[in-house]
Order: sequence, then C-alpha cells, then structure tokens
Amino acid sequence: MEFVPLEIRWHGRGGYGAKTAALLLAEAVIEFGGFAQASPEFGPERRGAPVQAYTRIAPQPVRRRGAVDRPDVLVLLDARLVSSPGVLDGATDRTHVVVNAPEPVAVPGVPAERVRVLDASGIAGRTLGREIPNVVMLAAVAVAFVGLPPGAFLRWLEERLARELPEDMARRNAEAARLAVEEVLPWLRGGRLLTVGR
Amino acid sequence: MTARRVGLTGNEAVALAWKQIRPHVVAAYPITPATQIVERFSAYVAEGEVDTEFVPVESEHSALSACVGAAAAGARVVTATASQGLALMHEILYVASGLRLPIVLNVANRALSAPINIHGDHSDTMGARDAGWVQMYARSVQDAYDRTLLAVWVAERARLPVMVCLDGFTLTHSLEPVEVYPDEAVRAFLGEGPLDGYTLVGGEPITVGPLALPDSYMEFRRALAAAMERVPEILAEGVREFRTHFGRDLPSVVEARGTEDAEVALVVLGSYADSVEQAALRARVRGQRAGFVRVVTFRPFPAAELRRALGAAREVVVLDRADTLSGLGGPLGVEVRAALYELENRPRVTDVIFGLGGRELRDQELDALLRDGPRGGVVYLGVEEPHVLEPA
Repeated sequence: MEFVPLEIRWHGRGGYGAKTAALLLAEAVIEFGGFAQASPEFGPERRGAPVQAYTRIAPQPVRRRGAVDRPDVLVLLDARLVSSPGVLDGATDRTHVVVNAPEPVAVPGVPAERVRVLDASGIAGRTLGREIPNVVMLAAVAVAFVGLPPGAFLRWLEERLARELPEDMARRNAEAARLAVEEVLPWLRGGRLLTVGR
Repeated sequence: MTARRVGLTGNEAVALAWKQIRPHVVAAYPITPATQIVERFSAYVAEGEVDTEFVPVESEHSALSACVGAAAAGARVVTATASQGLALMHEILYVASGLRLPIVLNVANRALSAPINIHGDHSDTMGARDAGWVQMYARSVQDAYDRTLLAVWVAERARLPVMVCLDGFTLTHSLEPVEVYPDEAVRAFLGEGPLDGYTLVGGEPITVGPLALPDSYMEFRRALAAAMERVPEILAEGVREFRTHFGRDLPSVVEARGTEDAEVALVVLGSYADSVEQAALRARVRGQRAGFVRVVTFRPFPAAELRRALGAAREVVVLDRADTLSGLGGPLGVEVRAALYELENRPRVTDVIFGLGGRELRDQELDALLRDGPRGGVVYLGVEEPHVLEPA
C-alpha cells in the first residue's frame, strides 16, 4: 500500500501508553510495507507525568531524527493536556488533532474542523475494564490518518498483542480497537483523510 | 538468503543479533538505556532459544571480569552496558585489550554523572577511547544490528575487543525497519568460534596475564598498537565478507558524500548522521557546496581517510557529542584537527559541541550553522551566551 509522509506527535501521561502506541503504529506501518520510525521522549518516568512520543511515516526510509517539531497529527491521550505547556507547539492550521474526550474540545490555533474527539477512555473502560486509552487512539490514527486497511490492521494488532498479553486481554484490546475504527469511519472519505500529510 | 523485515528498537535488534551470534557466555548487568538488551537476551536463554551460559552478576566490573575469564578460556563472549556501567568497567577494559581478548561490548551511549542524566551523548565511550578497544558507532537500528554481527567477525580476527556504540534512546529505544538475516546465514558468516590459542582451561593450559616488567611491558604495548593498526584491513575484509553473506554494503571506517567539491564539510559520529547529511543536502539546494562525513570507526582513528575526505574543503565543521574539557573542544574535533594538521593547505576546523545529556540537535540549528558560516574555534551549540574559544 502507499504511504504519505506523516509526522505524528503523541502526548499522554505516564501509564496511558503513549509510547507503546507510537511504537506499535510504526511497527504496523513497517509490517504493511511502509517505512516508519518511532521514539519516545523520556521525561521523568513517573505515573501521571506528561510524556511525549513520536511516529514518523514515509514511503521511503525516514532520514530525520529527534522530536517532531511540526506535527501533521497531534494525538492527545488526555484532553486536559490541551492547556499544558508545549503540547501545542508547532501546531499550525494544517495540523490535525485527535483528543481523547467524550465531547468536542477547542484547541487554540487549530480550526475546529481539524479537531476530532474520541471517547477513548470510555471505550477502554467498557472493553478492557481499565481506562487506558492508547489502543483506542492507536486504532483511530492508524485507520483515519495513516490509511491502514481496518480489517487487516485489527487482525495484525490482535496477533501482535497476543505475543505479550494473555489471550483474553489481547482479544479485549482488539475489541476496543474495533470500536475505535467504527467511531472513525465516518471521518473518512475514500479510505483516509485526504488532507493529511504533505 | 532472504531477510525478514520487521520493526525493532535498537535494543531489541542487538538482543536478536546476540541470539544469532550464539555466544557461549554472556555476563551482564542491566543499566538504562541498555537494559532491554540484557532483559530480552536473558528471556531467550530462559526460553531455551539460545544455549548460552548467562551469568547474572552484581556489577559491571564483575560483568566484564567474568567476560575476560570466559574469553581467555576460549569462549565467544558478548556483553552490554552504558554510562556509569562502562565507567565501572574501566579498569577491566584495559585487561581485556591487553590480553587480546575478542570480547564484543554493545554500549548504549549515555551521559555521565554529575548531574545525573539518563539520555544520550558520547561521554561514556569517549572516556574509553584509549583503552585499546575498537570502537564503531551505529547510524541506525539496522546498522546497530549489522555492526554487532560484524564486530564478532572483526574481534576474533584482530584478537581485540570491540565496542559497538549505539546512541541511547535515539537508537536504543527507537523503532525502525530492520532486515533480519536467517540464523543459518549468521552462522555461516561467523562460524562457531572460539579461536585457537585461548586455552586457559582444557588440553594444554597456558598462562594468561603474567607480570611484564620493564624488559618486556613496552613490547606488549607496541604489539597492541600494531594489532590496532591492522584493524582497518581486517574491517575491510569483514565488510566484504558481510556483503557476500548478507548482500549489504557497510562502510568500514568512514562514510562520505558530496566531499569532492565541498567548500564546507560536516563531520559527525553516530545516529545524528541522518540529520547532518540532510542538512548538507539542504545547503546544496541553497547553493552552498556542503559535504557530509560520518566517522564510522573511531578506534583506530581513520586519519588517512579523513584527510582524503576533508582535504579539499575550506571549512570543516565537526559535530561532537562529548567534551574533553581540555579547552580544545570535543574528542572528535581534537582528533580531526590532529589528522588534518599534516596537510599543507589544511581547512579551518570549527568544533561544535552538541547534544550533551540528550539535548536534541534541531534542523534549524544545523541550517543556521551553515548559513551563518563557521568561524573556527569551539562552539557549545544552543547554550546561551555561548563560550567561543579561539584555536590555540
């Protein structure tokens, strides 16, 4: 499949799984034949502390390193991060923002039509029994912005998670991801968000 | 040979390389950011995927000491560490090289205390640069994997210990595509090890590490220097063999692009080579003839290759991720200057110290460096009120 160059910055808090989501997305892209690089930015390693992670995607090898300064997609695993210092740095009117929130959220400097919300904590709470939003947000970004084929991506994800999680938890995570995909399908026209990327 | 393409972090790739190397002995102590190498490899051992004697030890000093003992007995040995861990190994580093033991050590480059910091720079391995170890610095996760395999080949032929350095977090914790070779291909490349001659135990035991007094110590040290001088040749043969077995071209000591007509050449070590090469290409687009040089093997120092690559430039900008605190700048800059001194028309060298303790090197900073024009001396990049020293 074809990949459009895309730089994604994930913001979360320690324990929300932002780093895992960033790495899994890159792994998925590589699995589906693209090029990707993912890296965490390690601040203080404490549960609850703000953390960032990056995923770069390209049709050819990624030849940049370090932080994503000008994200094409900004993923906020906690809506309260909108007002945290540095979170919106480099966001422009070309940036898409996805926020884990049950209701619409205003993101200063970003046009409302480029801000999308998804109740990732709610979905995770119902399926996993724990409000860890990363897999839901991962699935949303993978399908809506990267354009991975939903069915094949969900199958890959379940298999991948089963390598590290008990079978039941892998299945429940895959279910959370499936619900995320259902939520984001209405965002799409023709397979992916065509305005994303450069 | 068909390679398998997967996404791996630097640490995962090194652990996988170890599994394929099938070392007889691994003695290691985990430390950030090298922890997952040891963690994952010990899982391979526990799950029976590799038949290695894994020695969990209580410190890095003990880790390398156990490696020295095992290598002297003829075992193929690998280990990993970072930062303070390498500092604690320091005493034994010299024992490993002085005894000519082919130990491979993956270092996840990390800043040294104090102040304490877990992020990447080259202070740790630069502190070991005169310890008689070959040092190679990886550019990417693929390169860290490839070079770990190559290091075993080189160590066993040079009869020298080899460090394969990968930048902490930038490579150790970053996930990238890696082409993983089949186990049989790695086995065919490396053979079984160990080498003849390392027989501390067994058939005809030898004495290892006896006293060498003034009548012979200097000859041993000269022999060590001579062994180091032979490394580039062995490396060249190693990368030829590597290509034969795996179909991949690895630069052996230096990688250069656009230096033939460069007015300004950038020199770098490690994973920021990508950013620096891109900066040189952007400068070309702006009409500035910029060249890119990556020092792949820092020990032995590739002086002749650097004279060839940099001799035609007017300005050389060295990007150094460590400081000698000598007033002369970083270790790479000092040695590049020393290498170029022999040239009649030597370029001016600006030494730019960057990225200490994991500080990011930003594209805009590289562009500004080239656009504003280098001015010689030593620059601490991004530090307010920069300390600029005139060359002595």
